[in-house]
Amino acid sequence: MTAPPPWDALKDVDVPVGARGRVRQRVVAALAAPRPRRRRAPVLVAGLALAGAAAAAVVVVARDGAPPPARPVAVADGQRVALAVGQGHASVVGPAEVRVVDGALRIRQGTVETLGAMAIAGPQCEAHVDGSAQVSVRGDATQVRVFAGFARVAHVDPLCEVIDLTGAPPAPGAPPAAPASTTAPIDARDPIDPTPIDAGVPDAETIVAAAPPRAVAPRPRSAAPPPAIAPSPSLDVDDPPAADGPAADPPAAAAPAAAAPATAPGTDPLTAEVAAYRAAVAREAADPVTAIAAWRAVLDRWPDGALAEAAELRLIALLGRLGRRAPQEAAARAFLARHPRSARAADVARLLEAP
Amino acid sequence: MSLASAEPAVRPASPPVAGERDAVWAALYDRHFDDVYRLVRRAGVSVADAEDVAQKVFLRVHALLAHTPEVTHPLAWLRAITVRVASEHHRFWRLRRVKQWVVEGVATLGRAVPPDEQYATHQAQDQVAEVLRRMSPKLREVLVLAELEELAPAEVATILGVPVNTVRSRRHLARAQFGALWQRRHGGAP
Repeated sequence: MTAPPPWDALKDVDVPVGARGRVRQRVVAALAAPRPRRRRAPVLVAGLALAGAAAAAVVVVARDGAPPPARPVAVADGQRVALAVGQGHASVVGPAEVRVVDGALRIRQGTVETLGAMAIAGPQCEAHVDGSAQVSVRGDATQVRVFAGFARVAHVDPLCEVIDLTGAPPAPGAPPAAPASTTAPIDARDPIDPTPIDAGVPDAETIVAAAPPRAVAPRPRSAAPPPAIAPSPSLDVDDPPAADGPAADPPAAAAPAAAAPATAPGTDPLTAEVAAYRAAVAREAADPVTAIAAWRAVLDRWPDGALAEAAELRLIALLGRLGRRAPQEAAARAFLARHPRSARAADVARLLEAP
Repeated sequence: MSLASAEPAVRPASPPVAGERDAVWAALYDRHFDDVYRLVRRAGVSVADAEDVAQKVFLRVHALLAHTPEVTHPLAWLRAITVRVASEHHRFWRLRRVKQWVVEGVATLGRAVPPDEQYATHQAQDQVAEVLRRMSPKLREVLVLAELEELAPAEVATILGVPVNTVRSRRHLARAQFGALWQRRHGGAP
């Protein structure tokens, strides 16, 4: 009896749960989005004088840059819709209701993850974000969490809150804004972009709230350099990291107390999570090997925390830098399982695909 | 499955207006999404990219419906679109790999993926998909349609728009190429 050919493995392909709905939402959103007008061949322009050609070019540029018309987008629970807004992309997480008006994203209800530069507006809040941010609107309250780059609100309002998680110090005289310092706006969908996996995740945190003030006090930026995934010479599995070197993960018990510092009773959970995150970032700079345990302690304690996704990305990047290919792949698979629709999912998946 | 047994034409009319086109598109989507998704995966597209490629397929279907007078065999028509979109995706994937090679260096290439029992099924599929991606596009299309979709040579010829004898010869070459690539990659007989 001959063995079945290997391609038989692909005969039993399961359609993922929810794929039908997700793809339909994306197709409908893409069809609803205004198509960029195709530039006409400048047949007549070729025969005109230089001044005429310049004028025609101005017309073409102005036409391409025209703001798209308003279009309401309602996203069902569990769905996600990508939109091109301004000079960036917005990923609307259902349940949500948004509308694109004059190049600005108006959020009536729900959560939107943004990448790039765009204007956003909630019921009582108008802001400009540039970088990586998450905007949530609940009732009349709008909250902008900035992971990289900055956000500026037009008017300080108790219902318009900006939380800066970039770690950059606030600009003097501009409390609601924090200048970009770590990462440029990332187009995570660019498959050729060699951006590190953990680019765009916060190095540390400061919180600059327009109002009301948060419990976490702003801190100076961590001295930890932004990590980058660099190919390690020990990436080859045939040549695993030496057992006597930094190959073996330190036991979880060896996780430093700084990884998940004890917090005073009554401390805001977000404050404690941010503190642990910051401690793990600092440990990465001081001792990358023990920082693995620090990150795992953070993830064990706050598996669904606000910074869990960022922490997982930091851990994946750290394991890559240390040449721990097998744990890195396991962490990457776990990341994809937990955050299949993350803006960084494609980058992490690409990491797994790399031979 | 033969083309003759396919469902009746979705739209026996002249190119429709926008509303009618949306209705036809919705009918095709509801009826054949799973077929398209599976074909996308069988064409060697990874899980991470499969939904993106399926989305491109149905966007193209919507665009083509404006200019297609009649779709007599919807599934065959969708298969033809799907294999082309998947081939375009693979071309782009090759560019990405070249870029990755330039950026990350030779050290990251040629490294086998360690086994993982928990993901054994997906890994087996990924390994086949990886070999499929490295195949010649024309041979891959024939292998996918003939071996994975289990279509007859005449059906494959209709979908790809080539003679039946061409399909037969490509199928023979495709099996040989897959076997060679598989052996080079995994060391065992295909």
